[in-house]
Amino acid sequence: MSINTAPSSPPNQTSPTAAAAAAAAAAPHDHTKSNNPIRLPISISLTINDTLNHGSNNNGGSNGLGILPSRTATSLAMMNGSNANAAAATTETSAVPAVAGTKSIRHFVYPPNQVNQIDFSLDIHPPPNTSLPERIDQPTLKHRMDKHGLFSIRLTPFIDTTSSSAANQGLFFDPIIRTAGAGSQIIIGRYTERVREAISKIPDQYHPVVFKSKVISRTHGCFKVDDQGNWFLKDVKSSSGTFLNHQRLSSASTTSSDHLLHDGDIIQLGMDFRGGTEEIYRCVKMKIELNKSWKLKANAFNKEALNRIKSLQKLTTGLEQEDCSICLNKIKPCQAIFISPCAHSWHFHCVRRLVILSYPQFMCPNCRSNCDLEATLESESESEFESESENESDIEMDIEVDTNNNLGVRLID
Amino acid sequence: MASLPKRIIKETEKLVSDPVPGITAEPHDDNLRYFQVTIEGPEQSPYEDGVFKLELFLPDDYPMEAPKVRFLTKIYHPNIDRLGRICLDVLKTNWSPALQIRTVLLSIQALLASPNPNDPLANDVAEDWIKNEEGAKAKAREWTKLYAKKKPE
Amino acid sequence: MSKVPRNFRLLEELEKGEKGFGPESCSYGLADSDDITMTKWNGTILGPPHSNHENRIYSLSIECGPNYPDSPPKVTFISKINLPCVNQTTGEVQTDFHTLRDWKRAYTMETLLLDLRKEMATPANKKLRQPKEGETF
Repeated sequence: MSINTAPSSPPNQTSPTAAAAAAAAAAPHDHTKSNNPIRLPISISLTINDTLNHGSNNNGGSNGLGILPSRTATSLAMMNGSNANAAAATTETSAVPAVAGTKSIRHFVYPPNQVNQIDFSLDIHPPPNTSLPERIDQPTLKHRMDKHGLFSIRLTPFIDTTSSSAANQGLFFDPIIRTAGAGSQIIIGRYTERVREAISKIPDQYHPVVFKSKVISRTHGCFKVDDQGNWFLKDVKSSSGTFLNHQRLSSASTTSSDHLLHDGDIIQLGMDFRGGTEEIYRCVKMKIELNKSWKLKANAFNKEALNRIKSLQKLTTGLEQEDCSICLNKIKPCQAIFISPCAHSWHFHCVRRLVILSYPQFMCPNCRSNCDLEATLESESESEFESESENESDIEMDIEVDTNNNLGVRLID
Repeated sequence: MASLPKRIIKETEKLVSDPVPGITAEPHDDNLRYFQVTIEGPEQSPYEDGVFKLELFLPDDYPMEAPKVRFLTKIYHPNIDRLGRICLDVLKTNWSPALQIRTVLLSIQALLASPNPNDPLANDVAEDWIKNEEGAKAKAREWTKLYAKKKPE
Repeated sequence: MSKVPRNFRLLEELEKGEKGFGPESCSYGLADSDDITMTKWNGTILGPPHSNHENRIYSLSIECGPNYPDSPPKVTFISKINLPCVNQTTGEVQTDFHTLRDWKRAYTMETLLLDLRKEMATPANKKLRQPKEGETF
């Protein structure tokens, strides 16, 4: 029997372990033989000379970008507290004084649980007269981490429903999720071939955040996360600006301080150029969600709702059906479900193609009853309305007698 | 090669762990979408005591598209042609993604029990079936003995 | 894309040939409609215009072995034809004919027949002296 050879996918495809394992398998250059399931830390240095003026091609013109050899990266992680501070400080200082010419900033993602080794307060520079949030207790902290002890951030396109014009919608992108240990710094920048090459071997969730838009500077800004799971946003001399909830963080080509992020904050990178009609000139507008806050947890309401659907099915079909007949997996709380008029249900994801295929006609794949997904609601509300207005119902009645005998007879009664 | 969808893995596991009586289905080692199938002829039908070999393939779009099934054993049946192609509504227009490999194979077994000469694929056989049902059944029994003999156990 | 097994692939080709979805300049079908293994096929090629093959119909036999379509079929001209890629005593299309030599799984009998037709129409081949029409190997 060959079923054993069937590639059984891991229970959670996106789990960092799985992704890291896949990445490790794909990275023959890894000499470190680290037992860490997540191949962290990852460090990429981006040295870019696009400062004040576009095209200024002065000293240090190396548009260099490279991944540090993994041995270097590992040794970084093994450094004791004071050394790591020094390293972090070096990165900072090398970024700050680059007034003209080269701008150097490093993307680094640390593994979890380095909390006691590095004092992160040195690394965060909040705006004047603001202070860092108070330290949180262990259970709260634990709650902010994923099961691997990493903090996370999700970026989704922010669609401004108040503005009607098609333009000014910002660049569209698929949701971006990044995970990182305390003290990590995630670069925000422009997607280029160099970046693509540099990150090709790294799992997605540790990538820099890059966009295919020319209004984004190559190194535009960065996210930082401290040991408390607080996330910060900083502009690193972008030419067209970084906006947090519509406020620009710093004037053109100056570095901003580290601004604390909150769930639901809106970030805009750059401004539309030439009206933003072309995709490549659009700014990026995105909504922030922090530390897996976007993950739905089944609460009493969710579970109750699902139970109701099940008992409805039992009533109408006499069957208890828990599995989605299309993917053969269980229907669970917090999943998008489609319920047909015949009371069968499937994951929306699974049944979507069938619904679209012949919309508004829908044939239930389970019981083959045909339903009109557009009609039912309308006709019912009308008939209720008709019974109140006698004159209209007389006229309607004549028509109904012609088209639908049963209904006509009922109305005469 | 793209990885096998979870649904196919689940179906395959179930076919092995909870087989349908009188039906076997095993995927080929080098193509897990390609199954070797046997169906026992239903009792009290001209196909009784026969074991029929079939092949089944799950196309890329399965379960949105029906599986493809064909008889490899010669069979005298008005809805199965000389190349083993089967005329069965659930394999064509009446396919539904809620159906599975096992339900399809059960439908084929049911087709053996109740041939439908009014919706034929093999016209000559169907004609024979309508004109002379007893004679046609005798021929079906004869073919079953000739081509679908049970393997000596 | 998953690999369509031999038999279902041949059924697809048969259906296309039967329903006449293919091009008009060539045709193909099972030689024996009882052959459950679908090994032996007949093919025809309509000679390309503006060549010595114009208005001629060539018949061929095609043999799809158990490894088809991973391996190419064996093709033999039944009608006599003078082409460099055709063995002049057996009528067999030489295995170094480019379509057979560089065979890909996606190729079909139709690909092969159309490529042979193109071969007849190449500048080097279209003026080759041809045997009398109707002769066979």
